[in-house]
Amino acid sequence: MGYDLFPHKSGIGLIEPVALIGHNVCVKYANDNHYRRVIWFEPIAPFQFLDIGAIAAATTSARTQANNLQFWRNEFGQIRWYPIDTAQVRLYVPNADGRMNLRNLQVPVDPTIVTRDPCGHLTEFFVWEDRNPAFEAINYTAVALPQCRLIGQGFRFVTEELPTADISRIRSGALQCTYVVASGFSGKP
Amino acid sequence: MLNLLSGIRRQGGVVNLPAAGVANAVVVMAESVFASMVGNKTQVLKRIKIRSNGVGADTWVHIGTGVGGAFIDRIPALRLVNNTTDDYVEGDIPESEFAASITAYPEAVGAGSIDIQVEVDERG
Repeated sequence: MGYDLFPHKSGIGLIEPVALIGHNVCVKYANDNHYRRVIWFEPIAPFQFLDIGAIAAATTSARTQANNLQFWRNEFGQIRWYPIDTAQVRLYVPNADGRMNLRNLQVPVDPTIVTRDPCGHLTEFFVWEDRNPAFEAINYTAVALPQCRLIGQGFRFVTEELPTADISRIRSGALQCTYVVASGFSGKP
Repeated sequence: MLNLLSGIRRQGGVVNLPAAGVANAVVVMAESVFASMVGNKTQVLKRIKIRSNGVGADTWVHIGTGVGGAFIDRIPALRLVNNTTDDYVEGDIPESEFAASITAYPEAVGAGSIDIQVEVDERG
């Protein structure tokens, strides 16, 4: 079957699931490749998944765990997000792994993302099981922020392990698979 | 249509203009200059609300940057009639972009008190 679903899909439109029931996925986490088949999924409507809390003027918050974005065993999540308070927010998936890294800086997301990337394509990240993300917020303004709230939305996928034969066929290119990245790059797995 | 230049709408606090004269100009909206932020920020003036409490004098209120000899008007001074509240919105204000904190002062205060609050679109 041909897939027209892929991570960070950047065509016109809102978020689509990265895979459907019966599709093969490979969730890349650190040095592991988790070859799985999606057996069930459901949408996660936009909700406030984290309030980093008050941040003094011109201060960077502590790195804060987003425990609300944990998933159960054998599950992974596809999440797009944006902050609704005046801060530049850095993403870590997992806690020690800065995401959206360039050579000289880690790119943050601020509330202007809703006009610059209205569908949040480029904010998308994936969570494997309970390896939740963490966030740091830079309050760059000259006034204190009473709160720093983040809104997320996406999909929750339940998966099962693939038979070894299917994994071999995927590796040889005979069977289709969608690869999703759930952590930073830690060398060729 | 999307305005990809639009930034984050922010409002300043209610700031009292304590005394007349350019030497007494005060910051009504501070520029964001935190060294750890990514990029530089500028402010585009979008709304001004001014109140004169009724025991002062009719006056001009200047809005610009700097204090004292460094003050520069960024829009024409606004006439504030004693005992009124004035509200200037986006269509009334030139789209002045400030790369510094926004300051303001009245030419006269008398025995009264003048409060001002501004709203900006912070770009960057």
